[in-house]
Amino acid sequence: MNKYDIKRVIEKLEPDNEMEYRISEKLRESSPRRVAFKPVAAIAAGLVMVIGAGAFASYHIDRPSNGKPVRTSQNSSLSDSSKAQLPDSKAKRDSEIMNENSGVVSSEDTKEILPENKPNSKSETIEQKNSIDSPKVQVAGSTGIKEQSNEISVPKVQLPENSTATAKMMGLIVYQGRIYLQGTLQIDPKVAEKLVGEKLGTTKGNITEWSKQNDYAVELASTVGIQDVYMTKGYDKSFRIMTCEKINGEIYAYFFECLNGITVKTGHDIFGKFKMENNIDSVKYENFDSWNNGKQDFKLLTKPDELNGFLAALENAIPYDRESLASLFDDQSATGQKFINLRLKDGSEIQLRLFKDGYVYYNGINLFFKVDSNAFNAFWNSIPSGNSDYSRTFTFDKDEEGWSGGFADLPVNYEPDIYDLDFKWTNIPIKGTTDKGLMLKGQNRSDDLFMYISRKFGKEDGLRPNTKYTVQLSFNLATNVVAGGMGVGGAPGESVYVKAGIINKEPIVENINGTRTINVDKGIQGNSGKDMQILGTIQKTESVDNTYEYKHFEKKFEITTNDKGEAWVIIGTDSGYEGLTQLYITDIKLVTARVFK
Amino acid sequence: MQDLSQLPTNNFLTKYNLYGKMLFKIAIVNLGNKEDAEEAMQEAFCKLLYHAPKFNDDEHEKAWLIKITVNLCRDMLRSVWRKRVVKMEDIEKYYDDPSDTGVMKEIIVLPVKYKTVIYLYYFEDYSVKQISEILKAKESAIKMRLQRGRQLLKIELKGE
Repeated sequence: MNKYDIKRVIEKLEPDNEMEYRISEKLRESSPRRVAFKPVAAIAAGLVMVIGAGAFASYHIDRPSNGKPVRTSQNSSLSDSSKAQLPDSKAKRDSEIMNENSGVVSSEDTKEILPENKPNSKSETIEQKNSIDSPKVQVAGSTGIKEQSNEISVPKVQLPENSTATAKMMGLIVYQGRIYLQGTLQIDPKVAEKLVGEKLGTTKGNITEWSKQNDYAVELASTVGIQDVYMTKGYDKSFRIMTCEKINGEIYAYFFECLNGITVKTGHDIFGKFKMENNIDSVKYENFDSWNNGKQDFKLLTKPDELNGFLAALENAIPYDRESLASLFDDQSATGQKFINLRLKDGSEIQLRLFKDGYVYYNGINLFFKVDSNAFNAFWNSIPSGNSDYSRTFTFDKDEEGWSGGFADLPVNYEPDIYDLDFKWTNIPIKGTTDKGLMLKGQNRSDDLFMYISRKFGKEDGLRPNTKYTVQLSFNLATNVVAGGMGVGGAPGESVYVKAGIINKEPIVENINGTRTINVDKGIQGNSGKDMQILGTIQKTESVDNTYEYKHFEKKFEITTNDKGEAWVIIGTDSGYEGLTQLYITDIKLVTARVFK
Repeated sequence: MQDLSQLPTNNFLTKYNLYGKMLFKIAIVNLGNKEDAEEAMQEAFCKLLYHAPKFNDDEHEKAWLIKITVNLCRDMLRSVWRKRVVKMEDIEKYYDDPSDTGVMKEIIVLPVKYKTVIYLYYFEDYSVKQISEILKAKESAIKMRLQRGRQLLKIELKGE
């Protein structure tokens, strides 16, 4: 592949002739306020303006600026935007209900908007009689999520009465007056066979993004095609049902969960339904990078001692609605979130999203839970950190960022004037950039010169004592050495070897027989040692003048930390070229993953 | 056909003509299918028409649009739905030559951060410096992404 191939194939991607019209129509239909919703919300808009199962974005919740939920006052009113989307009759009902000062949505509330001939919330079908101009979302007897101190009422999900949205659909099934939303995890086929219970019916598969309201008012209406629906053994069918179908001999099964129409006072109201206590089979985790890119790179976590304490604390955790803490999602750093998959003994799985400030988010309900900080932190710290556990990039914008430099393989009594040794944090002399990095400079006057930088990593970086890790190390080295040059002792480029290693002892230069010798087995010049490997040599690959350009190096290492949980990264050059070498190192990136046996 | 110039967003036509093709290319490279690309474009134009800051010049506007479209695509890729249903709709229909389809599929499966840089560098002909300004990232980071993207795509550097 070359650059012309890229240009050619991208050039051929052309929008069709109707796209301009379609987009303009959508923009015309949309007020700025409505279309300002994020795409995720838009996806759900055609069905229920809820992201997940019950958090309705278009409703107003009173809360102080610190985001902590407070009791919704008797005088609370819907925001203007919400009012505009509510039908008069519904708004009136909301008003009446608010005046009752009831923060909890009861089944009585639900009855109010169910069809008269189906007065029971367990009615076989759901119908609504709202006007065409009324909103896409209806919430039974509620203005949305209501909160009373630490109590959040997640209203019963009702159906859109006028869906004209072209957004994509979420997986759902309507059953006995409830909407069950599809879980995010596919069930292991072997597990599915064990969990399948009594058959409840077959979905109609009748709902598409162009469906009308009546399409929803059908028992076992669904967006997931025609599938058999079953009870899930061990779970209340009011909470969890499942689909299970065999295609070409393979089983495809999903849970559908109804986590609405409930009041959440603590985590127990949600997580209690999963019956996790003493029921965990295994724990996997996924780092942010994997999750963010859909890599599904799960790693097994040896069931840590801290898990039970965390799960107990999770059951007592305080709920917060998603809106109040939406800023937590803004942290896209590698170390801000961790994803845990708990596999229960029955084979089912639950995914929890942990945020470093002590919150746990469960996708099925869109609530955050603030977990006791001691229990949370203990568990958090037991999970390898961040992006592939621990990831850090050093760009040296402000200083050396903890790195230091050193020189070895030269006489103890060397003459500083002729060796011209220097290590410093400085600008990188690549034209047009403002990048900074660490400079290593030295004249090889003694057949050999080893210049290096190193840095210690420890518990503060999430490392544990006597623990095995893999470390993916990469960095950019700015070099001005042209390939194929001639020099005393060897070529200025090809005879200067770039080496790196991860070791569990501090690199120290000692006086051995009159030579400054490093206590690291780095190998000699063109050979790797036990502690350091050759990554390449320093000659340039692109320009042929004396300007600097970046050369990228990377290698994966394995290291077992010492009994203090320490490890050192060391990067250097081992020179066989008897002349001046001046290099700059920047953008050092470490991605560390704990190795589990 | 409706008269589009009557839109409340009456400069939509102008903006679409200016940026429509570019945004489509960015979106489809990032998202891999036309349907999602159209959704991202709709959001991008909505932001441009209703929520845009004051631009210094056309280049500023274009750079802003690229940035927010890339971000919109990332948001969509992160969404719950997207995680569940990964699509790569019939990219073939854009190409007569199967090898072109193969090239595009290789680009599409690149991680977002690499393919955005590859797109801007190789298609829009932005320099590394300009890309770093658009994406608000360090030049060395852009260089690294470009380099990594090249490695992944096995791009020949001859003639560059």
